[in-house]
Amino acid sequence: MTKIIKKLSDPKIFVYTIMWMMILVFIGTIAQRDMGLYYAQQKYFSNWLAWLGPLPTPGGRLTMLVMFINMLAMLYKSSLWQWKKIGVLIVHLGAMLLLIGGGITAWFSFEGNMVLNEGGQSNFIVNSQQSELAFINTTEHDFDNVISMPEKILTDGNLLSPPELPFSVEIIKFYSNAKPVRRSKPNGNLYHGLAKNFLLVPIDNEKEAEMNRSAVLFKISGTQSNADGIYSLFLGQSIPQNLIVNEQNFNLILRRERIYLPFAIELLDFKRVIHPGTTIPKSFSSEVNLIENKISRRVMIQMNEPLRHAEYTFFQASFSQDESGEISVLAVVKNYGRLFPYISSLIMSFGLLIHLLMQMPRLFVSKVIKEI
Amino acid sequence: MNYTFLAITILLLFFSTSCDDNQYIRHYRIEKKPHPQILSEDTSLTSDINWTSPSSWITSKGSSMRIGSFTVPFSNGKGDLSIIKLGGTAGGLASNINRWRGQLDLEPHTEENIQSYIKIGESPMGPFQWLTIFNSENDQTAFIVSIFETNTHTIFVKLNASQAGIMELKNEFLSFCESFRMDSLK
Repeated sequence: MTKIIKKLSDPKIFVYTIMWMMILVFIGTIAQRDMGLYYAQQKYFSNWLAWLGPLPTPGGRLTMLVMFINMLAMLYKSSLWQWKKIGVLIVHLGAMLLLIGGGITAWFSFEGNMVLNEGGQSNFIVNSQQSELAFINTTEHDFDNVISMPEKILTDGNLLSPPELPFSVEIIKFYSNAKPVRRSKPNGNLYHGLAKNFLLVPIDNEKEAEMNRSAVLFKISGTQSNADGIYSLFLGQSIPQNLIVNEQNFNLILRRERIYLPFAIELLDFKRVIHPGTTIPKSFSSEVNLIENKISRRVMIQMNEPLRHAEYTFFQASFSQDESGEISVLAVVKNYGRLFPYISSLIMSFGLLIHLLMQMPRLFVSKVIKEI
Repeated sequence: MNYTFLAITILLLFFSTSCDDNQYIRHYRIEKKPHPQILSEDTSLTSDINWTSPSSWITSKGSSMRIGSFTVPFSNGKGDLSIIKLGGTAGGLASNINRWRGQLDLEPHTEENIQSYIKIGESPMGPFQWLTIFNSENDQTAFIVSIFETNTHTIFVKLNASQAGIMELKNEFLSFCESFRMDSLK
C-alpha cells in the first residue's frame, strides 16, 4: 500500500496531467469552431475518454480525477508536513479545493434559460441542450401529474415502466436531430398519430446544440386497448399527441427539459438602452416580481447585477421583440460550487505569500554571502 | 493512515462515477396554469426573421400586425401575401386552420383530419407545415398557408389569391418559405 501511495504521489503525474489538460484545452478550443461549444465541451472536457479519431485518450474528467488523486497522495508524504513548507502545503490544499469545486460544479450544477414576455410570468427553467419525454396526466381538475423521462435514458431499446403510468414505454429510436418526412401512404394500424403519416429521418447535428430538433420513436404497450402501438414525437411538434387509458387522459410531449422552481418570476418591464446614433445595445435590464408563497418582491436584474435566490442565479442574457411586446431572456444557473474558485484562489494566494515571506530571509542571506 | 487514503480514493471513484441525478424518471405534480403563459424554451429565438423573396414580388404596406407583406403577381391577377408573427401557439394549429376554412365557408376539421393532409417543409429556421385551402364552389379565393412554430412564437405566411393563382404560385411560395432564417441579434 505504501508503495502504491508513493507511486501515486509522484510529482511527474501532476506535471503530465497539467500538460495534458493544456493540450485538451487547445484541441477543445480549436474543435469548438467546427462542432460548436456544447459538443466540444462534452467531447473533450465532460467525458472520461476523449476520442481523438480512433484513439481513446483521457478526457477532462479523468485527467482531473487523476490529478486530484495524485495531490491527495502527496499529502501522505511526511516531507510536506514541515513548518518550513507551510506555504506550499496551503497552496496544495487550495488547489485541491479548486478541483473539488470543479467536481461539484460538474455533477451538481444546472444551467438553463427563462424567457419572459412583458407582463408574463414563469415558474420553470429549461435546459436548451437536453430534451425530455413527458407524459402529462391531465385528468385531475386542478393539477397535472407529470412523468418525465430525461434524454439520457431515452436510449434505443430501453424499456421504461414507471409505476405512475398504466402502460410501459419502449424506446425504439432516439434522434438528437431529425426531420419528419411524409410517408407515401399511411402506415399500418400499429402506428398512431404522427408516426402513421410521417417518418423521422435523422440529420446531422447543428453546431449550436439548441438548434437541434430531437425526435423519438417509441412503443406503448400494456394499455389493454387499441392505444397500444408505435408513436413518434419531435421537438416543437404543433399537434399534440393524446392518449386515453383507463379513462385517464395523457398528453405526450417531447420538449426541452424543464426544472420547476418553488417560486415564480413575473416580468414587469424590460428596458433596453442603445448607444446614441446606433442600434448597438448599451445595456438591458428587467424589472421583475419574484413571487414566492404568494408574496411578491420587486427586483431589478441587469447586466452584471444578477438576482440570486434559493441557490439560483438569474442573469440578464438577451432579449427579443415582437408585436406582442418585449421579451427578456434570463440565463439561470444553479451551482453549489460557485464559491470554490474564489475561496481556493484566496487560499492559494495566501499560501504563496507565506511561502515567499518564509523564503525571503534565506534569499537575503544568500545574497549577502555572495557579496562577501 | 494508508487505509484512510484507500478509503478516500475508493469513495472518490465511486462518487465521481455514480453521481448523475439526471438519469432517473421524475414524477411531480404541478398546478394547472392559472394564467396565460407565453414562454420560450429556446434562446435562439432572440433573433430577427429574414427571408429571400422572388424578384417579381412587390413589397406592399400591410397592417401593423404584419412583419412582411407582398403583392404577388401571377398570369391572371395578383395575390396578397402576409407574414404575421404571434406569441405562443397563437391559439393552436387546428383553430387557425379552421378559422381560414371558415373564411372560405368550409366546415371545420378535426386535428386528426388536419394531420392526415398537412405537409412539412424544411427551412434554415426549422421545419414548417403548409397546406392549401380551396372551396370548390368559390374559385376566386383560395389560400396557401405555411406555419412556422417555435417555442415562443408562431409565424404564419399566408398567400391569398384565386385558385388558379394558388396553383401557379405554389412552388414559388414554397421556395420563399424555405428561405426563412433567423439572424441572431446577440
